[in-house]
Amino acid sequence: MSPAVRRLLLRLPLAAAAATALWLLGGAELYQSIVTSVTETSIRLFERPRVTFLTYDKGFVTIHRTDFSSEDDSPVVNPSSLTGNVVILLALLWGATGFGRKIGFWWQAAGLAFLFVTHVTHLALTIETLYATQLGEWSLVHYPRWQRELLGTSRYLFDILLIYALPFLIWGALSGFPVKAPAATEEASPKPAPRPRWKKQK
Amino acid sequence: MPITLRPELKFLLKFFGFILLFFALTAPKPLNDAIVEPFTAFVARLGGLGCSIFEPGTRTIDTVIASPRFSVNIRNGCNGLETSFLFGAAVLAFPARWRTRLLGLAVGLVAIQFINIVRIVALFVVGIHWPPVFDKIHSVVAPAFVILAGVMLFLIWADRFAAADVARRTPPAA
Repeated sequence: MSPAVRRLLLRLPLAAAAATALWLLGGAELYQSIVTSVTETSIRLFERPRVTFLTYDKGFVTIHRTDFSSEDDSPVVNPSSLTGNVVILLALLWGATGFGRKIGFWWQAAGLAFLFVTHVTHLALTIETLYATQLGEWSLVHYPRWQRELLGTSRYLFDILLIYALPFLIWGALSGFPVKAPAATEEASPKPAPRPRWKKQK
Repeated sequence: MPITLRPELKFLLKFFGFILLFFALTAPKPLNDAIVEPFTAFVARLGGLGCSIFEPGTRTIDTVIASPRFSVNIRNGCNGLETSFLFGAAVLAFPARWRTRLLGLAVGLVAIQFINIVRIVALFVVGIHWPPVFDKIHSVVAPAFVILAGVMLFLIWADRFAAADVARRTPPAA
């Protein structure tokens, strides 16, 4: 077993435990409220007229529309399954350090910022898919079939695969794996030749 | 003039391409009904067997594992396929000999399914004994556990087996 694998087996579980603790002990609440707020701004940026309002409370995003009756039950989305992959990325950034190049603090921040953008996209897609497919006649009137199909497929791609592939992709892009895979580089590159020494003249 | 990509970029693009391919092969409804649903029911049966060790009287009906105290529905996303796809895409994208890849896929995919069954049983036990934390464990801890286990298996495979292939292929510098 190479030193990199030994480090991985020790560090990845510890990093995952630390990231999970950080997430569950308050990190998720703060993060999800920010995601909700940015998603609301993003949706309203493209909406004509601007009718969507999102509120975040106790782990749930409630969707309000000013053009719907306030007596209707507002739909609710649980964002924890959308944003939980932060734990996976943090665990990889902190725990898979023996593979690829060292990722500095600012690159880690850039990776997390990119993941944040995907969370806003995912939540916006979830809300738009809800508008397009789950509001009965209203959905059918306002969203043509191709739009409903496109939104549904995009959301499904996020839900099933991208949500888990993105942390690995971000970590791979930042670490330069597999080029810097330790065993490959150690075995492939020859050891540097010893420096020449002057023999002492007798 | 042929375009040569940096190896790490080539790996990521191939990985992403395989992910999209696997999605395209399983997402359409007819393929989902023919492949994913029966597979999910099979995973549920195995999970139900595991759950019955901890909760006698547990039964599996289609994709539902039910006991008098708790029940779970195994859906797409809980069947371990997403981790298998990630692992498969990474192994296929990594520069290695086909024999090494096939060995990695055979061992890795079985291991991932075993880990996923452990996850299902653990969630079932959590649902019975600690229902207030079930949602958090289900949506954050359990997926991270399975995905990171898949990534770990891939990195071990890449380091132990595939990297040796890369080294063998790379001629030593003169």
